[in-house]
Amino acid sequence: MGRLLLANLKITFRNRISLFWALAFPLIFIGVFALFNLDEPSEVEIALVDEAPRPLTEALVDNLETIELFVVEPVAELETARRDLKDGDYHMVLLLPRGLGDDPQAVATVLYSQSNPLINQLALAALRQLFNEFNLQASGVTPAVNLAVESITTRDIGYMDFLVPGILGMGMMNYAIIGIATVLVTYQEKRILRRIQATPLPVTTFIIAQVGAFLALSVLQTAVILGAGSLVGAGFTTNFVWAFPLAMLGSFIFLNLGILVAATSRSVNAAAGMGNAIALPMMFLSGVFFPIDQLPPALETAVGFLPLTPLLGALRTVLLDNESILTAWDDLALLGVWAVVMVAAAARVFRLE
Amino acid sequence: MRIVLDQVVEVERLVKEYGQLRAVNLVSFSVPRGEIFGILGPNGAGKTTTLEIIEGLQKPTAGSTRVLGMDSRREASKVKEIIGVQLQASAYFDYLTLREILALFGSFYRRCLPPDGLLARVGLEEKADSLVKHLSGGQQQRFSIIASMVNDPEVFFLDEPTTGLDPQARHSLWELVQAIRRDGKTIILTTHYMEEAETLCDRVAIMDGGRIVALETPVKLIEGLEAPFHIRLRLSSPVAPAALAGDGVTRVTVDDHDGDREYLLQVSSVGDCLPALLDRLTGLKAQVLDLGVEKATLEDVFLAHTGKALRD
Repeated sequence: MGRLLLANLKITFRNRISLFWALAFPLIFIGVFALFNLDEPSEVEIALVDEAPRPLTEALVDNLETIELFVVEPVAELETARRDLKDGDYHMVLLLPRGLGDDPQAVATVLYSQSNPLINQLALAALRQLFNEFNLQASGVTPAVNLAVESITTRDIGYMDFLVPGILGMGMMNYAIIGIATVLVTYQEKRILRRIQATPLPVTTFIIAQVGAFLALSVLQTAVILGAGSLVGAGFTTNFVWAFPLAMLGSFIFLNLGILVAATSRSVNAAAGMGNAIALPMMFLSGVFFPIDQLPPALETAVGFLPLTPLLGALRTVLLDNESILTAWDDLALLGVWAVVMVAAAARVFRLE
Repeated sequence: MRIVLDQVVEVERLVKEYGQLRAVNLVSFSVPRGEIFGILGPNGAGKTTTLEIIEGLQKPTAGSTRVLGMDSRREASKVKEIIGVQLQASAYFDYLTLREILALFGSFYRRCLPPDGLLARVGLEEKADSLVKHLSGGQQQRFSIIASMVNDPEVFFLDEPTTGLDPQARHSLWELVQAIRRDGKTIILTTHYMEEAETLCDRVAIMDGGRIVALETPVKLIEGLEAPFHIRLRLSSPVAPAALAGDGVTRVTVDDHDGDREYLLQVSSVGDCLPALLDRLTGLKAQVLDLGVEKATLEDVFLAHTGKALRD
């Protein structure tokens, strides 16, 4: 068995093209996403038009500047500010009209362009809060209830922290399904499996060794993806080592799925096509790139049962939330069910052949 | 009991059906130790299926096959330990060297031979660290034979070992097969090359449509023909083919090479036919320009038994 595993490792690692795609494909995704700045905006630039500066408006502006989100730049003319907003020089324009606070007709006005909804949402919420608090202060009312906000994460989380576990799961899935399916179909086409059948070695043993070689490769894949992720800003959690057994478990499930694909495909192209047909929808639905809670509820529930979803859930528990792996017990249970079902199905299909 | 053990391979009333198709139809034969046994027939005759059942790769619908007294089906793993198998159109791993492939296959058996010695046997020792794809067709075929030798088997099953090889590579493979036999091994091979069956095999089973239609040594197969000799004639003036028949001439065919007619006569015995034939030609006033006598071939045997020609 040792020699067989070694031979399969050589076969797997000497297949340069396949190895390249196993490692390069996830890295390309990480690289491309790193080029976009998909993190939440770090600052909102506001053009401030104060038509008649006086203590009240100055106090308001002082408060405005204490909010870290905002970069405030005074602009004399509303028309200038309006034009600059259109040109994209500012995210928003805040107009403090003459007579603000005295004349009920004079209200502070925010102008914003529709181009960046995420920034608008954040900034408008912050501005409303600011005006409410300012009004309360000005009227001398002590707030009845206070809200203390505390971040439960100990580090800044960016999009890369979210994306890298997703890419890791995706890499496991794509390479395991398509990799083993094409290898096995090639062996069938070249009658290598038949040739092994003519020896005392059970073909099942040979396939188990092949699965073992792919699992070894999945460890390398995990290391490379996490390494590349850290280069583009994804942080390492103290629990990150758990990503390795999780990735192997995921790879194991998808390898068995790949064996099923091989058993139902007559050519390498058919196997690759079928593998892609299974992997691509999961890649987009299971939350590789975006959280699945943005899906319609019914779909979200259904997607939750796909094998990639709990894998990503468990990976993010340790890589994003830095929680104990046991916190993801429900994901682990679902993965366990998938592993058992897939092994049983793959074993059955191979016995039938 | 001794008789049983002298037969290395025994096939009894073997039947294999694929749905409605009867690929192997009541095939029986046995092969003694040290024989090179050929199964000759066109594609689809049932040669490969028969071999794969003996090797334990397929289950028979009915009948039984035994190797050294062991049932191919019930004692499949024991049988696989002592047989060497070369499959038709089977390849080896792309990313392993010759030495690695031999060592890997050797590890599947209880007993195995060292790779380097095997490679040296067929002059591939310098290719030990090459990949299979860097070998020529003849080298690949030689390699696939030594790959079937890793367990030092008692019986070899070679399925069309020379198909697609050039004549030189084919002859070198024949020498290899004969060298294996000199080691006291038994070889069963399939082929659709007449010459191969005739020169290489001790006995030949002719298969067609799933049945063995004839089984003998090549010489006896040919001698058993109604007309085991051919006479080729070229004459000074054309004669009617029917005028040449009779007196032991069983069949006359004419090849017309641009007006230059060549008569091909199948005859039962040269000594009896030739004088009578020459007499008749004198009567026909046809002078003999050229006359050749040839022995019939397995091609004729195949034709006689199946009514159709076996195409190479």
